[in-house]
Amino acid sequence: MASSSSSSKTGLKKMLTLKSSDGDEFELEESIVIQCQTIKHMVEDGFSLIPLQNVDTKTLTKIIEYMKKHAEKTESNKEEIKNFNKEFVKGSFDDQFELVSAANYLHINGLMDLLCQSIADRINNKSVRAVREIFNISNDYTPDEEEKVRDEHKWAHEGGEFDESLD
Amino acid sequence: MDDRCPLPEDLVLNILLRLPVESLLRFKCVCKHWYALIKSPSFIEKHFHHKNNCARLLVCNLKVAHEGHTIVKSVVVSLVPEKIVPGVTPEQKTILQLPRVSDFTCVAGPVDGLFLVQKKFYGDDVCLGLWNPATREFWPLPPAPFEIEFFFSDHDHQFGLGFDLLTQDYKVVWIRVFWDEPGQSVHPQVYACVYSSCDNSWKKLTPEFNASCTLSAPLDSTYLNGVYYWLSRGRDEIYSIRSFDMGSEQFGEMQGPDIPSELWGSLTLRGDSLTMLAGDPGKPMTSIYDVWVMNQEEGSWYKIHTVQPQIVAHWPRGFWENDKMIFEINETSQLVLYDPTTSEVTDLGFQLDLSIAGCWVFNYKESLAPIKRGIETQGQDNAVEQIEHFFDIIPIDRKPLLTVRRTIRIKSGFFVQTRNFV
Repeated sequence: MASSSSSSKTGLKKMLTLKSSDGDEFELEESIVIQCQTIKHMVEDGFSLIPLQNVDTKTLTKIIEYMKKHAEKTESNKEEIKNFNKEFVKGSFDDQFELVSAANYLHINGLMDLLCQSIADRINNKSVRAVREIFNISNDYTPDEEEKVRDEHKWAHEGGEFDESLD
Repeated sequence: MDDRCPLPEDLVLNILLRLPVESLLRFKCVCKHWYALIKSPSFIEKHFHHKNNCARLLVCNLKVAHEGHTIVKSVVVSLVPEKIVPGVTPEQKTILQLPRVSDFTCVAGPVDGLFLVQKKFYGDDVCLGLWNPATREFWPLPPAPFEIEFFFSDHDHQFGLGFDLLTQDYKVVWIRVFWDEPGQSVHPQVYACVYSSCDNSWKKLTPEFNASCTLSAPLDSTYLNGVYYWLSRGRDEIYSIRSFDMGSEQFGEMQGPDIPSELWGSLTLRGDSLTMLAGDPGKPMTSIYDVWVMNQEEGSWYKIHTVQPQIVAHWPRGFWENDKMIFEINETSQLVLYDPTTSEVTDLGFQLDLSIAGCWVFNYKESLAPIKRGIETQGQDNAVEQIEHFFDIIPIDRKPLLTVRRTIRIKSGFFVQTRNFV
């Protein structure tokens, strides 16, 4: 009865085009792309070409890879998806930040959750200095002020070796 | 130079909320903005309720040892990992160890990750402290303004730790029952005070309830949505519920579940519901427990299930993950986890001292909640030292010069505790 269900029955899949900020176009099935809340709303409004001004080609390729894999999710391939996720979050902090910003903009909740958790796990044991570098934050404390803040919870700075590396 | 833009605020927040308390305290040093963020009440609340902040079992194990003619207490507070594999004794993490203390009476809570600790039992001697194990903050409370006459004798007392949602203030309510004029006709009197952490002071209350009612300490914290609850039992042996509203600072009373008066009962929290466990504890293999849950809107009670643990003589100590129960085993002094669906018993790896009522088992989530709101925090970092001082750690080489005998009351009966003065 409903036209949308009959189209899927006959195998005619509705396609959408995503356009990156670099101008590259990617054609994808609607069923894959609707994991992304921002695009889903645009599809509902009748768009089929979707320009993504905040997402470059490199990031968009990764995001499409994620959405394609997660569209295949069933009860039986949980382990496979888990391994895919593990590989997916292995990039540099810069890449992860690009991806998480895009996932935030596109409202892909599963991806946001995955990336934020991975970043949190990776910085958990980092030193204060490494965290500043990774997040590109400049230290706005004077040495005296910083010393005072350290003294509030001295023990939290003495719990063994902290990771100074930036990856 | 790097031209990368920092992440938007909501993403930084999303990432930081997933970190444990210890890392967040360290990252207060990253910049002033992160400092303000991590300290903000809304961050603290979101962090406490975040799905990553899993509940764990926290066990406080008090033991007594005889050193010649003296009795020395020792306290170990440990955390059990969040995942307990059935049949496998979990590896516990010690978070506080007080090897030789002259006194430790009880620990209550937790509310938002905070505990109330007590030393001494009688008269003006009783001291209370608030403790956040995750931030390692400790704050000894000032003396409460009970006007204790020389002829008073302590009969009973109860605490309630809670949060005034309106003024964002942690409060402690303390109810004490004294018998006056001992030897003549007895006049039990009920007194109560409430402590506010914002003001760091106590206020006297007028509890309008009968001193013949006995309030009993809960298995775990029984603070829920601004109200603290106790199980009460009058001379008629009927169970009812007493409450204290942390906001209005008013006591209340409500109906308890319909439980035969010969049964033992205790209150606890199970998930977000006030729960009563009732049964005939202790009997090997044949004890039966009913679990009742209160509907907060209607104030009515429902029996949700019945547990008959197929284990030897025991005493109930609490719940874990809604349906599992924790028991201490009389014969072996072990603490075990019992799963009623599989009847599996898991030893939690604690050796208890059953000669003293000294084992507390809590469902605990770590929290950034500050104890000292509005109170100067500087130079108060070393909580372990403060706790050791509070509980009066006895150094190994301290020789007793003078021995004063005092009697303190414990769960079942009396024993003599000796205290050393140097």
